[in-house]
Amino acid sequence: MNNITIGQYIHGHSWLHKMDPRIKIISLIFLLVTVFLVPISSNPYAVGTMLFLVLFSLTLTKSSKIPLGKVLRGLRPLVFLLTFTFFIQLFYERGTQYGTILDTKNHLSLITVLIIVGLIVLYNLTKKRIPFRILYFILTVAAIFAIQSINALNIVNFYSYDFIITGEGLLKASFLFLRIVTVIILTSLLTFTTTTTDINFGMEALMSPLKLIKVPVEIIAMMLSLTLRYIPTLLEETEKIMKAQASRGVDFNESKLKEKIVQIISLLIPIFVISFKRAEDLGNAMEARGYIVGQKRTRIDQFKISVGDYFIISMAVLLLAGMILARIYVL
Amino acid sequence: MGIQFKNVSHTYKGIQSKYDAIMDVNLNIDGKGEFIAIVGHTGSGKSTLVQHMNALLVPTSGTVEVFNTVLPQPKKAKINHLRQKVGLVFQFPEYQLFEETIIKDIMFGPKNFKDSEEDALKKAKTAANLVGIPESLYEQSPFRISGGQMRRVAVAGILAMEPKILVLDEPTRGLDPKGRNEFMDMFKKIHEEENKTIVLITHDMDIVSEYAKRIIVMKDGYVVFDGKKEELFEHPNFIDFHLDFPTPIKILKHLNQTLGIPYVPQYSERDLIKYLEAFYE
Repeated sequence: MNNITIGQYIHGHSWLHKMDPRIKIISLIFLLVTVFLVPISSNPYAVGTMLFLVLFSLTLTKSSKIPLGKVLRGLRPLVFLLTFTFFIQLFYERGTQYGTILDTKNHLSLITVLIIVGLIVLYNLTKKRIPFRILYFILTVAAIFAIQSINALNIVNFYSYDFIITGEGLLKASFLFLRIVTVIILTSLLTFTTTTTDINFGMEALMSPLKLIKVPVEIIAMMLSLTLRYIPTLLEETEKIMKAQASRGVDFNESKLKEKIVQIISLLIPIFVISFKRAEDLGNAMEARGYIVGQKRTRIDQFKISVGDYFIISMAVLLLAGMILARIYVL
Repeated sequence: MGIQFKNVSHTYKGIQSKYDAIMDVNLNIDGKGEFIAIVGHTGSGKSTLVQHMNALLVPTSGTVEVFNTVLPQPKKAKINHLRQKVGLVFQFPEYQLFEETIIKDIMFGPKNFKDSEEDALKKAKTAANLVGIPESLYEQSPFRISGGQMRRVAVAGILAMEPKILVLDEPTRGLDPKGRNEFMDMFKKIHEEENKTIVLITHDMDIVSEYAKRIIVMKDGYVVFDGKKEELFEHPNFIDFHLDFPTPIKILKHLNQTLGIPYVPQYSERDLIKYLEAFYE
């Protein structure tokens, strides 16, 4: 329950922390678009740009003084997806534009199957003790394929297939991999260095042009910030209710589907009751302090866009413009 | 039998930090006939301690033995049956109600422990009777009654499971003095009539002195005192526990200083009045 990392701000004093949230969000969007605009090709410029962007995001992380491990931990839920897409791209792509890197015959035989099962068991047993779990997972998957290509183990063969890795496949897979990693690093940097209230302010400011077409931007922003504010509180309440119902014999792990439905109801109804009660209390408390919907309000933190902020956003614009120009004329 | 704590520590792991909630706790709670109050400041580990008693939390080191089941158990062992033996009532238990009718909500616990519909109904009626919910309310929605009655229903929900040990986390919090006395008298009745062990967390020293037989004082995760209440209020290090004296003892100490009435500790208002009447006769 406590592993959910939404808006996980880490306190710090780096320039990224001090940046104006509006500028930070816009620059992030520009950077993300740039990352996606890098074409997949063996052209040295394309490869260079992609590597540059990866290095750039790592440098940003370094300069924000957020531990790299924490940023990379954000990748953890995506490890499976990453590995999966990487290998699918690797095998599926049969274009021979850049030649073949590997072309062997793979065998699934009695011995290789046994070794593969052994490897999977070994991975599951040892993964808790290995610090670089993501790398370990990828290596294990790679080892599973490598073992199948060893001819000496080909005893009692079940199935053989051509194992071809083409240059194009490798290129596409690597690009995709790097792209996802960069995007995640960049976006998690935003949430790590900006408090939810600041992000909310940034969003509100960015949405403010919509006021012209009568979109209630302030109300949306207030709703957004209250929702974000109450996620941890509600999680806490859920945990309490779960424990209370567990004390009444609800077993959330070991029961049949029919029982599960009753159990979820026993959790949902109290949570609903609590949320409504909290919402009512909050509404009353806000009104008691003079909150009127749609009224003009000042804020306690006044944001001012500094020279540094202008510099940063112009860099981001330059990067994006350069990328677009490069796509039109060079690549 | 009962619950034994052996060198139990529990550490909460946060994202960036660790927090030792309880450390090196050794306790022995008998399966029947005890009335224990756990006192201590906020954050001293009381709630963490009681959540070990029905295996909601398992120790990070050391062992807890609950009715001959040693915790922590190996992975995926079933520990649910322990929760029937040790009934835990949380703070503000009225929030756990969810069924359409009061009686159904009380039956929820027994039914989870595989009681038949009739058995569960029988147990639920006994429990409702015990906490003073009249029969006319049985078919009402639990969300349409007063807060005090909701709490009674919630306590009945635990009592209907017929636990051997009843653990209560601040059962009188947020109640008015009358409700408080009614609740405590109810627990006393359950304790005396069925000889059940009752463990309760409270901040109210008057409750502690009037009802509890044994007191456990927690401070910064350690158990600093465990013994009879008569010993606690005469303990030489009482000031270090950062606890308040109960009202009757305060009054007696004051009377002793101002009027010279001999100090013989009395633990409840009733006893105090009796003592003073006897003194002036």
